[in-house]
Amino acid sequence: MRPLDEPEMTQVLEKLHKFVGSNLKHVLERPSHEGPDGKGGYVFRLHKQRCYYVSDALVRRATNVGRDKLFGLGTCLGKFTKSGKFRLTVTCLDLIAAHAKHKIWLKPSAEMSFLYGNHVLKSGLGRITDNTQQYQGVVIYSMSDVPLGFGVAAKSTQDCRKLDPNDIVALHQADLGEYLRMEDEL
Amino acid sequence: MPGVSVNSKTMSSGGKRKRKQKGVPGVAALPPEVNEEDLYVSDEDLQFIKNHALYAGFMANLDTATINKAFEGPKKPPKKADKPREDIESRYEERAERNAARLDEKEDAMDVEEMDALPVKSLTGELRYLSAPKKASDGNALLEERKQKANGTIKEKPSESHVDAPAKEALPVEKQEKIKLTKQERKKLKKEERKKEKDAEKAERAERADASKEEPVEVNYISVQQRRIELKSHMAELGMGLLANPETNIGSLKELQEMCEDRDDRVASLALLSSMAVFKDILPGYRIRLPTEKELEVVVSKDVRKLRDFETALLKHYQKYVQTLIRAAKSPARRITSLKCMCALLEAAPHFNYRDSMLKAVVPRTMSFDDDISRLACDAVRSLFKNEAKHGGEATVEAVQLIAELVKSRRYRVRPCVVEVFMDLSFDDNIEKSSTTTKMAEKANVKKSKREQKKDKKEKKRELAKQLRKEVKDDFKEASSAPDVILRKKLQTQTLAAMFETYFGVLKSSLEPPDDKILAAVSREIDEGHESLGLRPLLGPSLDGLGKFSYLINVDFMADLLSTLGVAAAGGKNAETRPAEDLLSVGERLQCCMVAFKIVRSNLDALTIDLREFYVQLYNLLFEFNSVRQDMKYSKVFAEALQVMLWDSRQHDMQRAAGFLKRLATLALHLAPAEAMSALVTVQYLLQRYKKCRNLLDNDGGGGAVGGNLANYEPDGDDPDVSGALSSVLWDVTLLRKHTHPGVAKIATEISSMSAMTDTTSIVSLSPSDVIDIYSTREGGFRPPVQPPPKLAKRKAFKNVGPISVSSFDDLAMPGGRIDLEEAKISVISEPESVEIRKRLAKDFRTLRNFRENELLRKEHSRVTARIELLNTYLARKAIKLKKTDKGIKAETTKRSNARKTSKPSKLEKSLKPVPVISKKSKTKK
Repeated sequence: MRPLDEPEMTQVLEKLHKFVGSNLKHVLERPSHEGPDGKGGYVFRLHKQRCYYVSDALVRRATNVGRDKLFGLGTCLGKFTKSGKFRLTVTCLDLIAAHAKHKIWLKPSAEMSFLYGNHVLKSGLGRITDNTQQYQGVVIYSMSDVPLGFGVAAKSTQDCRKLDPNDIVALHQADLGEYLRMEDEL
Repeated sequence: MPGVSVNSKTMSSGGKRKRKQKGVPGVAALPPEVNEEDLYVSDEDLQFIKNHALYAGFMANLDTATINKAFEGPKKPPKKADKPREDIESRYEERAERNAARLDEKEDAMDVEEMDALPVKSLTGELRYLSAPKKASDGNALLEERKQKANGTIKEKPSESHVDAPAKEALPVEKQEKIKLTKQERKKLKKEERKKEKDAEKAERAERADASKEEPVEVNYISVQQRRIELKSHMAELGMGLLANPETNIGSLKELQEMCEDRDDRVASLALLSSMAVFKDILPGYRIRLPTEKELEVVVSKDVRKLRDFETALLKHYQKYVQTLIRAAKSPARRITSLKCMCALLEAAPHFNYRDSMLKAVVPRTMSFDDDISRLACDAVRSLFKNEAKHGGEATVEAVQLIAELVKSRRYRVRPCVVEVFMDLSFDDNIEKSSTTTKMAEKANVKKSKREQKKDKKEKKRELAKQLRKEVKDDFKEASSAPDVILRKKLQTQTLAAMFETYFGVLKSSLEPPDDKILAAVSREIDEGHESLGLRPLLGPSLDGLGKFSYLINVDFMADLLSTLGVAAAGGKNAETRPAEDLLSVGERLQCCMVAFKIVRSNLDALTIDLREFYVQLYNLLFEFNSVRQDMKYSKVFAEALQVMLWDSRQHDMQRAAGFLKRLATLALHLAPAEAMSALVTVQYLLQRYKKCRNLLDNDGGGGAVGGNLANYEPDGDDPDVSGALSSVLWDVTLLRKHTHPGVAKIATEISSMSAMTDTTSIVSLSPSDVIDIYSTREGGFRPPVQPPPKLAKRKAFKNVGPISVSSFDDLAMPGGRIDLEEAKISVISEPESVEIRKRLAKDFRTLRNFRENELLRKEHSRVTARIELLNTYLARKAIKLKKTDKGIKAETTKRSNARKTSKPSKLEKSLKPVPVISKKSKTKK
């Protein structure tokens, strides 16, 4: 377990910024109420090629555990691939959903399809935030505002108007179904 | 002028001679020395006279009376009064007479034409030409006119020192007389006139000399008032005549016309108004098209010709009238009257000719700084929009396009009412679709034509034939079934285009920071004392219009429009760097948000969009709103924004809803009751719809770091989604329960009890806009009015107690003496019963009084007994002391207590004896 170095930090923040935009500030400055004094914030930690979002207090406690014995701590945001790229995992969904700028709501009929790992089609699009650009990170919700996963907008809001029902609106990146499908990897 | 008249001589003489032979056989012969050839005046002659004007002065002093006598036949009508004005009068009379006679001889159409083209001597003494200069009779007219002038001058000069003025004065009287004249008289007059014409020719040279000097001299005669009254009644008569029989009396329009240009503003205004009233009634319900040359050649029946003549004359007069109106609209004294006339005509006959020229005069006046003028003009344009059936929509297009151009050319700085006029436009629902389909069709056509070019000739030919056939078919279809619909669509599309062009222009221009020119204009307006238009006068009405017609906006424009609105909602371009007073006001920004929502909602079929940006703007504007509460309109906008954005839009996520909930509740703390109510109603509605948000009503501050939610509420955050409101508590509502306004307090109580509510039935009945209407105290007072306290109401009810039944009083005489007034009110009483009741009441009160008395007496009694007891014990102690003075103190104390209990009862009893006596005494006293 160690703090992220400069290039790693840039990668992580860039990825997060795609989803939360200017709300990244809130993510970084979020106060935590854990620990004896109830003060402190959250920090990023790297452990076993994974990036964790952890409160100060927890980090201090985790130092008591040996590196090989420590399985994980805090919220896992994503992992660094072998080639050194950073990739968000579904475990970070709660964090980015709370701060997301651009959202897509799915019709009930399209929810399951998405949860099995498919892309979002125009026909399943319930609602979309205005002014979403192409390739912007979007958080995907059900119509009852439950975050289901996240992905990347395949088309801007304006282009979405003219799409066919079978065209892809958002590209799948992660969904809640992964908790079942890829239980081991998480 | 002289040049023309000279050449026209031959033509005029021909016509005149004919008439002379026909109708006036017995006229005295002309003086032989007057040769027509002599009358030929060349330019050289004119020049000569001008150069030697001084020597020609004698002409003015000729004794015309005698000269005239010599030439006037013995048949001179004696009907005239022997006033010195006689000659002039007769002159005017003749002219009027001629006009009338001309109308009588209407069978001769050519004659009418000729006479119509005659010049008119107006009341001011100026000559005017009718607007038909191309006619053959033109030259003739000019000559005639000169003759008249000569006639007048020569006769007037010697006989009267007042020159022209009295003639003017006499005119109305004469005109009145004219109507009464019989036909015979007219004939006589005509003869007379002929002679005079000859005279005139003779005296022409002299006149020429005079003409250069002749200047209308303003002299005050009789009185202005009198003249006005006379002219007024004359106008009334003319108007009546016209209305009774427009076809025969159409000539009197000319007289009215003359009066319209009177020097006296009052008279002119009256004449303008009365002609307007006449035209309003006699204008036909169709547009007059003048017959072409070809059509004129065709022989037509008498009726048709009559109608044609009438229409031609009417149109001519109308044209002239419109010209006069437009001219008068420029003079400060008459502009309101002329504008009124134009507006009334536009309203009454928008289908008629010369509408466009009137529109061109009226529309710019909507932008006038004068309130009355602009209101008049706006109303006229509005009525055009509303009564499209009258003109088939053409006038609407013209007006809207004119307005659009004008507004643009004035850089969108005009009175807001100009653009508000558009709100009265109405469009068919399918207009937009049709326009898009036509566009598609056009596109298809273009493609087709491209393809066609490639095809060889033969195919082309075939195609052409096919197209032709189709066209014919289409034409037939158009002609037979619904030509109106297609035309209407076209017109409406044009109107729409012009209107939206204005709206978009306004919106774009308001984004830019005001440049120096605008600032200069504003300061100029303030300097000139006008009501300043402000920086963006048109933005408000334009946004209203966009909201109203949002369903007509093409989807292709939507993206641009939304982004523009987004910038506007943020306060304009570079909002951060600009000074606050440059930015759009809070009300305007709220409106921008609202319009964006309306646009999106009316195009729901395209895509459901979550307008996050605008929610963020609204969230921030809510805080700024309180500082701008100036106006009823702002409260309205506020309520409408709440309605459109928070009620009508389908979904929000919970975070956002909570953010708005919290902010609205906080806002309600420092808003006026009406606005607070609308905010609270919204809170109630949101709480009802988003059950999860009811957590806010629970006391334990939830939140925490669970699930990535924000732990802390940021009251001053600028994004509702990340405000963390879910972890706060709606403590504001608890405070609001003690609000001064009962309505607010009530709704706050309702809200705070919502956490326990389980049923899904709606308890919100009012929308924010309704609430503003109901509770607004902007106009003073307390609304809804305060109920009088219930106590007062009861007393009042007791005063006018209704009849009561006896039975209901059976339980009145209770020991407590409480009367159930509710029951008393309801029951019935009759006259004898009331006596009974009085008795019973008296009895009841007596018992009550006895009770009180009894109580007092008892108190008194107990007090007295206590005193007596005290006295007795004292006496007893004294007695013991006396007995046992020699005994020790210790024994004394122990015995004292015993004595009280045992040894002294008999004494005490004795001393008690007088007590009943005392009490009895007090009783009797009372």
